[in-house]
Amino acid sequence: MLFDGEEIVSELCRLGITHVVWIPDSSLGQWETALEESADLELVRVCREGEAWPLAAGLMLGGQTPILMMQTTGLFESGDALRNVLYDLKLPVISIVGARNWLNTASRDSARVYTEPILAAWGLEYQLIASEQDKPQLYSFLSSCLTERRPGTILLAE
Amino acid sequence: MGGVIPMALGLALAQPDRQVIALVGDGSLLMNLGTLVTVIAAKCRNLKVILLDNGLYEVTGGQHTAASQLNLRYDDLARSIGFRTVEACSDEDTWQAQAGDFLAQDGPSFCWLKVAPALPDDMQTVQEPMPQQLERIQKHLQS
Repeated sequence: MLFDGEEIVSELCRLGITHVVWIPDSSLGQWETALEESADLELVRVCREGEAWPLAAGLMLGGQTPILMMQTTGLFESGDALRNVLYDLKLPVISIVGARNWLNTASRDSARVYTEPILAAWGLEYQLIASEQDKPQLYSFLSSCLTERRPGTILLAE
Repeated sequence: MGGVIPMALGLALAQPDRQVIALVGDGSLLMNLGTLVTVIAAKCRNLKVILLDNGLYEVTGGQHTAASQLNLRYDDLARSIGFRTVEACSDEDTWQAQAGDFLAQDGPSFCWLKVAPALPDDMQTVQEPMPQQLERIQKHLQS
């Protein structure tokens, strides 16, 4: 995993994130203890990714700064909720999406195959983080999304 | 559909000093039934869910929901998930008698209202554009 729990908490706090709304996968899930123990972040667990987008919308309307975390499969599942929040309500929710099997270039996992086409279909701007050299872009990309009030996703290679 | 309760929960978490009421239809709730668990897991005391249950998808012309064929008790479901206050009303007089207490108590609270289908003339579309609605809501929330 490119970021350990303490690193990701540090980056999120630097961004001014108040709430993490998630269903983790086996990679993102390694951050659970750090997220729970952070005094500056509130971890909100949902049962299905389709809840995460409107929940984040509610937090945002209420003046908070949420970020979503889910795997690509959850992104696929929650497409209509994403559509409603980003394009009907026009609320610029940001997210970190774990890209299953991205680092396994030989993988024919359909989740891997459909990641970029579905991001493109939804018009979701994303920044791929796939190496140590990419890591500073997590902060710079999400910071620009927050400052410019536009939605964006960190695609975190797994 | 399905986003009412999660959005209301987000608002309630964002502004814990405000009471937030989610008015939700049974069709919408069934699309995201797990969200009732999310509410309880979030330990949110300022959220009340009021379920308007007519067993139909009215917006598409009144087709029956899958649950309408069952003897589903939403009050028992809410209670088993952990809602602090749970009420069930199948007529207006009962709701009138219980509403004050229901709204006054700390949440998370759930009220199951069995309602009749809406009359066609009652099915109104909100005319105000969504961005304007949200702007108005955000101004109110910041006050």
